[in-house]
Amino acid sequence: MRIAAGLSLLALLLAGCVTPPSPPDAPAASATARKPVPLEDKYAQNGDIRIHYVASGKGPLVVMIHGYPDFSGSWSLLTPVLNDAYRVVAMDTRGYNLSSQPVGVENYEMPKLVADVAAVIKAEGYEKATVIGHDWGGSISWMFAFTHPEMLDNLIILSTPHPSLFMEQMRTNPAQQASSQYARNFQKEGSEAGMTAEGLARRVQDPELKAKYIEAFNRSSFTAMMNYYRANYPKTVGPGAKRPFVPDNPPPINVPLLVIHGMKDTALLSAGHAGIWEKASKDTSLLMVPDAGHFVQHDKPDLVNNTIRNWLDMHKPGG
Amino acid sequence: MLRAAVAGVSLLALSLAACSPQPGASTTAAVEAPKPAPSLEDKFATSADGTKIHYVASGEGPLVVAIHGFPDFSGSWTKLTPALNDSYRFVAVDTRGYNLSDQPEGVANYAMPKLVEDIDAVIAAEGRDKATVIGHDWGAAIAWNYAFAHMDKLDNLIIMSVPHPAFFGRQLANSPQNSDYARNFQKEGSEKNLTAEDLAGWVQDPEMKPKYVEAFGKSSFAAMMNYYRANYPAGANAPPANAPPPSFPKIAVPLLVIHGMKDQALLSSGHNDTWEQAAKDTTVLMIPDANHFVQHDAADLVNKTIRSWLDARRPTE
Repeated sequence: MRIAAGLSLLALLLAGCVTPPSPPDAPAASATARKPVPLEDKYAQNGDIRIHYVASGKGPLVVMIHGYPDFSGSWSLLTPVLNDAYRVVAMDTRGYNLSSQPVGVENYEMPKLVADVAAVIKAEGYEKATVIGHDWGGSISWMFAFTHPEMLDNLIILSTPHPSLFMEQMRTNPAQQASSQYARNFQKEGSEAGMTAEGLARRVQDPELKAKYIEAFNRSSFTAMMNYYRANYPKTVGPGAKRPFVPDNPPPINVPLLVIHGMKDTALLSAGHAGIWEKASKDTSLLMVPDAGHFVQHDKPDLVNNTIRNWLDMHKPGG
Repeated sequence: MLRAAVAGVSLLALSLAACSPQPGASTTAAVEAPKPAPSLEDKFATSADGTKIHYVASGEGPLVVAIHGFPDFSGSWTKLTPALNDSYRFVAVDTRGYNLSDQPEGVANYAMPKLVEDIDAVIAAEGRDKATVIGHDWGAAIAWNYAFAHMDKLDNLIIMSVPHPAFFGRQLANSPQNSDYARNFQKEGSEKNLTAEDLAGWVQDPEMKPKYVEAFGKSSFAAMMNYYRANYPAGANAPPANAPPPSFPKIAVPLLVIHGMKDQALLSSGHNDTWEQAAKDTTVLMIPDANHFVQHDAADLVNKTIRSWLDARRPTE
C-alpha cells in the first residue's frame, strides 16, 4: 500500500519532470520526445446517438472536430503537441468510424451535429472547451460558437470561412461558385454509389496513416458523408443563395479566434477569410499558409501545430 | 508513518535529481539561473547621405530592428525590448528628424529611399547581413519599403497598423476622409501648430509621457511633417487617376501584421488580402479594443505574440 503510494508519487513527479515548461523556441519535434500520454477510447451519448472520441492528457479541454472525408485520426499529429498540458479530445463525427450512423438526411442537420459536440464536452465533465474544427468540423465549430458561446473558451478554425463570409462568396464570387460544384454533386441522390474507402483515403500520403484511414472509412457510412452536404450545404449559388440552419446575422465570436488556411485550397478560397475580424469581438489571429492545400493540418503540420500550441498557451483558460 | 514519510522524501529527492540535468534537452531558461537584464547601449549609424541615426541596442542573438512612426521615437519599444532582448539583439531606431538622430533640412531629405537606407545603415553598423524588421506607422511604411528594396537582408517582417502599399490606394479611394489629417500635414507651415506636449498627448503612461515630451523637444517638427510631404500617397503625391495599379515583389519572408481595430487613421479593411502579397506564411492579428498605437494599447498581447511568433521562426545565426 505504502509502496503503491510511493510509486504513484514517483510516477507523478516523473510525469512532472519529463514535461518541463517547453522553451518558447522548442521545435515541434520536441513534442515527440515527450513521454507519450496514453490515449483513451471513449463515448458520449446524445439521445440515441453514440459519439466516439479519443481522449488524452489533463488540463483545459480542447475538442477537435474533423471534416470530410476524415476521422478522429486527422489529429494524430496535433494530439501529442497539446496533451502534455491540455485534455485533448478528437471526435468521430456521426456517420464516421466508431460513432453512430443514423439513417436519413435529417439526422445530419447542423443543430444535431452541434449537439454532439456539447454532449462530448459534458461527457468529459467540463462546462467549457476550446473547440477546433476543420472543413465540416469548422462549420460545426462556427455554429457551436453561435449557439453555445457560454461553453466556449477559444475557437480555432481550419480552412472553413465564417458562414456569413462564405455565403457572401457564394453569392458574389464566381471563383468560389465554381469551386463549390463538387458539393452540389455530393447533394445528388446516389452520389455515394461510386465511393470506396481506398478512394476516400487517396490524399493521405503516409502509408501507416493511410491504412488507418482506410480502416476508419470502411467502418463509416458513405451515405452519412453525403448527408452532411444534403442537409447543410447551400443548394444554389448567386444572389439568392441560402444556407440552412445558419442565422443571417450570427452573433459576434466573443472568444479569442484563430483561423488557419492553406492558400492552395481549391474548395474553400482564401478570399473567404478577408474581414473575418469584423465578425469577432475579441482578438482574431489569421494564419495564411501559401504552400498548403485544404488539409492544412497535414500539409504543414509543424507550422500549424506549433502555431496552435503557442496561441493556445497565450490564451490558456484560467491561465 | 515516519519511515513512509522519509521514504517519500528520498523518493522525491531522487526523482527531482533525476530530472534536473535533462540531458539532450534544448537550452532552457528554466534550468539556468536568471540572467541580469541586458544593458541598453546608445549607438549611432551613418546613413548613405551622411545622416547620423541614433539607436538603442541591447541583448545578443538574431538582430531585430524596430522602427517607430509619427509622433513617436525609439522609446516606443520600451515594453517590447525586455520581451525580446534575453534572446535577440534588439535595436530601436530614432528615425531621421527625431530625438537624437540628425535632422537634415528640406523635404527631399525625407524621401522614402533615404529612410530605407537609414535602416540599412543600422543593420550594417551592427555588423549583420540580415535582420527581422518591425515597423509601426511611418516605421511600417519604411519596413514595407525596406522589404521591397532589400528582401535578401530580411529574416522576418513585422508590421503594425499600416496596410501593404498595394492596398493603400484602395483604402484612400474608399475612405478619403480618413486621410484628411495627412493632407493637412502636407501643407506648408503645418509644423507651426505643433508642440512637444501636444504631440505626446496620446501617451497614457505617466512614466513614459515626460520621456516623450523630452524626445519631442529634441526633435524637428518640420521633419515630422516632411515624412507626409515627401511620401504620403495623397494630395501632391497622389498617383494620376489613370495610373496602373502598382505592383510589388512578393514578401519572401514570414510576415506578421498587427492592427488595432479602433484605428481611425488606418482602417482594418486595409489588411484584407495582405496574404496575396506574400510568398511565405502570413499572420494577421486583429485587436478590437486597441487603437492606432497598438503596441501601447495592447502591450501584453502584442509583445507576447511577437515573441512567440518570432521564436517559431527564429533565424539561425
